Formats: sequence, structure tokens, C-alpha cells
Amino acid sequence: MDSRKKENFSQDSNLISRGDPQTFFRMKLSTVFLRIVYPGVLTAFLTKYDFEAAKKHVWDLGYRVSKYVFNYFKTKSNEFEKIIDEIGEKVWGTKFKIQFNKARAVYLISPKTCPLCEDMPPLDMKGLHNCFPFEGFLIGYFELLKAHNLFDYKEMSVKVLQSKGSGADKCLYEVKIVI
Amino acid sequence: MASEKLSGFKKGMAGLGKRLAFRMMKKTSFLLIADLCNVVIDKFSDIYGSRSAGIKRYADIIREESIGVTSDIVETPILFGISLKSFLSTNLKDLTFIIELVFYTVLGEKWSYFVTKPEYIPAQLSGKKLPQYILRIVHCPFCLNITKEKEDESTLESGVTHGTWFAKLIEGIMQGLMDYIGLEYRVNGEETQCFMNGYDYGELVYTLYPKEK
Repeated sequence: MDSRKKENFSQDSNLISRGDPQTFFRMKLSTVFLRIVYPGVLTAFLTKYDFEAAKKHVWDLGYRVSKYVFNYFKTKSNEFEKIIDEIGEKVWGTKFKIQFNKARAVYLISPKTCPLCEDMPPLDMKGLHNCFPFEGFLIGYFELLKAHNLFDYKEMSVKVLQSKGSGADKCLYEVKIVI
Repeated sequence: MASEKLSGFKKGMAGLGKRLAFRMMKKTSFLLIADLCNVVIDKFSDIYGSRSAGIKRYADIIREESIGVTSDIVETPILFGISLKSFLSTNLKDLTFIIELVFYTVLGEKWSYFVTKPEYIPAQLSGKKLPQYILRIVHCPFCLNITKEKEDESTLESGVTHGTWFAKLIEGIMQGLMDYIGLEYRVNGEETQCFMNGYDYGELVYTLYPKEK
């Protein structure tokens, strides 16, 4: 038996003493930390897979993170724009500028700062952006809101139009939602 | 060039600098990023065939990244154009102060909810007769959501724990600092205790091995 395992210990018995999720959720972390834990992951995907498969894996990072986040943070509002505001402020640690483009019936969302782009090395790869996981995150999070009857909609799509990490002056996301 | 020992004045300056640096930095939720790291481990476990292989692959990547990022951060001005390199010294005891400085700069004043200040064990007092540092994790955002159903610790390879990747992240930072200062040590870090193995706190032990010429 590994000496680093306590005998007769039930693994889930000390979940509470590991820490308070709300305290960690409110704790702020410098985005410099992301420079250590994130770019190498993109490189690993791009090295192991072809471009389209790697993109799917990057998208899926955000999608899966939304499932974790939903366990400890549920938005209070039932209006789309306010939900986006809450996600920006509480989860992403930034403010989102939200505009509705009537002609195309889409929301254009731009974060004041983007945690996945700000302190990152530039990513010069057409069709892939540092903040690409945000697409997956929004889709996943709204799926959960719907599943828990907290917000209803018929269809939703998200697209990263441009990214600061790829040289643009700001990140810009397009969200189409049919309510 | 790093000084031989940090003076009280420099430590005071660093204390002011860390507060300003944290205030000026762009930030996001700690738990969000902890979740991102857990998702990467989930995905790497699928990609590389097992939970142990996924954790080890992520640990390798992170160690390399943290060495590189550390040398960049050391050069970045944090207080009136003064960078972290002004607060480095060749005295091994001072590294505990530097690590604390890094934690504050990255996590702000609440960092101590997560870890304790590292403890320095001089070579003559350590079991391995080599300089060591011990760092305790008092609460852990990386495993607070990880149930046995998600990751059964008893199935991990010997020497691998859920926090192995984080141990290697700190190892990379320490190695980056050693290399920058010009100290000829190879840092080896391991997680010797983990909440998920039944302990009341996590423990990371870092040993400094003389670099082979």
C-alpha cells in the first residue's frame, strides 16, 4: 500500500474540511497564473490532434468548466442580459458590454478584460482564439439554467468573433438566442 | 545580481510592492481557474489513457511553463519600476519570503486561506541532508469538488496524487528562481500528503539537489 494513503479512510468523508467553495469562488487570482496552466494545454491539443479536433477540445474545456461552476454559482436573474452581467462580474471577473444588433438579431458581448487573453502569449492561429472556451462555457451554463428551469430558451449559439489574444483591440462574442 | 541576504528595508519595500502589484493585476475567480485545471486533468485522463497518466502529463507541461513564466515575472516592474529581481537573494532562507511574496502577488491577502508560508529546513536538519522546504495546503480549491466517484485515489499510481501537478507548478517557480539567481540546485517537489488520501492538510515537500556539473 502506498505510504501516502491513510488506512481505513473513506475518501469522501472529509469533503467539507477541504475548503468552502464560496470562499474560493470569491477569492481573486491574478490572470498571470493562467500563463502557467493554460497555453501549454492548447499546445498539447494542437500537437496531438488535427486543427478541427484540437478546436473541439479547447471548446470543450469551457463547456465542462460550466458544469463545475454551476455546482456553486447559479445566476439570480431570469433576463438574458442580466444573466450575462452576473456571469461577467461573478465568474469571469470582469464587466461585459452588451449590445443588441437588431438587424441581425444577435447580442454582441465584449468583456472589459478577458482572463483568457490578457496576460497570455499571442495566439496567431486563424479560427482559434485563447478565449474560445468561452463559447463552450456559455452554451454549457445556459443548458444547465434551462435544465433547472431557471431560464428558458429554444435555441442558442455563441461565436467568438475576435480576440485580444489574437491581436484584436478587444474580445468580441456574438450570441444568438431564440426565446 | 541577487544580494546575499534580504535586508529588513527591502522586505518592507516588497511588502508594499506586493499589495500594489495585486491591486494592479487583472484578476478572475480562483475557483474558476481551479475548475479549469480539473477539467484539463479530466480531458488528459481520457487522452492519455488513465488518471495517473493525465495528471503526470499536465504536471510536466506546467513545470516547464512555470519555469519560463517565473523568469518573465521576475523582470516585470511591480513598484515604481522596481521588479521582483530586486527582492531576490542567494540566501536559501529568503526563498520562503519570496514564495510568500509570489502567493500574495497572485492571490492577494487571502492567500493564507489556501497555503501556509513555506518552512525552510536547512540541510543539517533534514532527513535527506539536503535543503528542503515544506509547504502546507490548509484548504484546497483543486480537490474540494472531487469525489471518489470522479477520482478514486486508490487507483492512482504510487507517487501520483491529485495535487501532483500543483506540486510541479511550485517546483517550476522555485526552479525558475534558482536559475535566475544562479544557484546551482535542481528542485524536486512532491505532494507527500493530500486531503484526498485522508490527511487534515496537504503537504508539499521541496528538496534541493546539487546540480551535476
